[in-house]
Amino acid sequence: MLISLRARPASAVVALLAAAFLLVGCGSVPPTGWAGARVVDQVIYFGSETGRVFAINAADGAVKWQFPADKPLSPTSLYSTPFVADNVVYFGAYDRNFYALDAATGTSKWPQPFAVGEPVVSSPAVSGGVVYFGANDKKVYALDAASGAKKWEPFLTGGEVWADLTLADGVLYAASLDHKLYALDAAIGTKKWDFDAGGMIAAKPAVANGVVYVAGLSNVYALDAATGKPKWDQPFQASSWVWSNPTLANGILYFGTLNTGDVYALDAATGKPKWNAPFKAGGPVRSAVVVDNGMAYFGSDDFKVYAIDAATGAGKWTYPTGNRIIASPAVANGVVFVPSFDRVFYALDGADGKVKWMLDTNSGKLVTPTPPPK
Amino acid sequence: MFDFLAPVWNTFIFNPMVNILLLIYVVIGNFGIAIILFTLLIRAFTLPFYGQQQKAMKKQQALMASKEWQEMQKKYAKDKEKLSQEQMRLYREAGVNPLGGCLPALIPWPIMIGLYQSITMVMGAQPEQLMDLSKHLYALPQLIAAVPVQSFFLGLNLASTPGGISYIVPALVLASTWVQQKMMTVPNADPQTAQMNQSMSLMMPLFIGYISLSFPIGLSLYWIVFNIVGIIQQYFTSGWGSLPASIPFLNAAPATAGADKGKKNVGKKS
Repeated sequence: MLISLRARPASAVVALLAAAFLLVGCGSVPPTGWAGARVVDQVIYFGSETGRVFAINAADGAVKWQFPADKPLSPTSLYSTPFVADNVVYFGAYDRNFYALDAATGTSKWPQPFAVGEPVVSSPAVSGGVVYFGANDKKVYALDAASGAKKWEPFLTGGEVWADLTLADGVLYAASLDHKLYALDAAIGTKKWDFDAGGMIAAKPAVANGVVYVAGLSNVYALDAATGKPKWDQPFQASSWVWSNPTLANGILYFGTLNTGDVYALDAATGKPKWNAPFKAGGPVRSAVVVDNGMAYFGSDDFKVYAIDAATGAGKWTYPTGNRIIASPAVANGVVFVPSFDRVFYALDGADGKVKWMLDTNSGKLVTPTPPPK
Repeated sequence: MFDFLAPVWNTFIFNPMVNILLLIYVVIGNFGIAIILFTLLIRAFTLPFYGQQQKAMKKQQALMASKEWQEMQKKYAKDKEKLSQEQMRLYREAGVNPLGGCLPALIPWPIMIGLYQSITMVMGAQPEQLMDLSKHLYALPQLIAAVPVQSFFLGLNLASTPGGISYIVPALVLASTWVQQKMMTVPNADPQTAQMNQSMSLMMPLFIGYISLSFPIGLSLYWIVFNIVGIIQQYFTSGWGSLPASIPFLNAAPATAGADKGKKNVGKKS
């Protein structure tokens, strides 16, 4: 064989190239999850791609508990950002269950998790003793928050419900991959109206002042919350798909785009851009753009955490992590909390991006920050 | 390490495949049929490579079964260097390239990996796959509006893993892989090689059947179609192979033209 290879260098080159392409081709993105963090009473709750939900002290990163305490969930992917209400942590998992945990101890509140039958990607919303979530079986569920019993028959959409749910004024807004946004009566689960966005909706609808903001593929719409009719003259067309949960702050709608990595700030009343040009991140932006104290924070596929001026879109600082960031950050008391796929949870100073502490989500132990490359 | 190849891979193999698959889906309106047609299309494209591989393998097997080869094995059993020289001489004289069976088989592999990946991504069984699809779609409104695909086919959700009645799908993957493996196995006089072939023709289907339990059903559908085309192709190239030993009624089946032709070519320089 060696002789033949020597005699046929072209064959050897072809073989090596084919092998290299195999390695490139086989390296597809593994499912990891994009659960973000929630901060309540100085405790951070977040789902890690290690298949565990953590509760940690916001001040020093000390782990209060992790669930499950023994072996991780299987599959480990967690997409649902925990919601905390009345000292109970609610989240869905890719293992086809929906969980309710005691916020103080991390132990189950219900006798057993609610078995959905299909993976749960959307983050829940809780109000009036009812917890709402969507699932891959195309249904929207309403459960009694105390017992986990069904409050009304699940509402069937035409596609998987991946977008986080939004509750406002007794109306539950649930977006589906069937291209539609559904407005449901939260008390009984009946449809008030639906809106076809012309493409799949994977980002959470934002609601304020009687207006619902929703993104279908690259188009962002403003709808009358009572009727579902468009409010702007025409939808805003972004440069790529919008999977980043739109954030409303001071009359401005912030969101990022996949593929092009643009971050936009629109006038919520008119849908016109507030900045001269969108901010360009170095990679896709799936994470929500979180606004706090005049700054906007988000993570990107280029491994970086970004801080930009919320009024002008000018870059303030970046912090490089070890892997892609598609989970949304949370901000509390001037500290930005971000989970990265490098299996480290970062607490960064919102003013300058300096590390406050870092938690290794594999071991549950704090790690020493390494200086960022110059 | 091979990151520099990713743009080349995406531009020339992966992106065209993703978009062609989606285009077939837009035209046909059924993702199961789109997977079948797409697999057939790619199989047709790689057909010449497999044909070349089959021919080269047959020539090599015929040479190794020849009297001259067997005698040489006995004669130089204790002199490995001389044995190697004599083997190369026989290869040259018979016009057989010892790598002739490997290289043509290797070339279609990137295409097959692209096929596998494009089905996985378009199916969007995992949220990240659907999210990353935005990087690979051409700017055609019809394609973009078709996402995500409706993945139900014959009552099965192609994006989900097998369960209940759909366990029949991995069973079909296992069966079709086993048939193809048996057909590819040529009876060998050497007991050690024969035993190795025997265990290979059993282990490979078991392995593929096992991993298809954890794959989305859509991928198993591709695998079944892929195997069926391979079985037909194998039949017309070299007949049933070792399959009649396990399914006796096939002994009564007529030999194929391909199988006969293979025998006539033994030892002849082409």
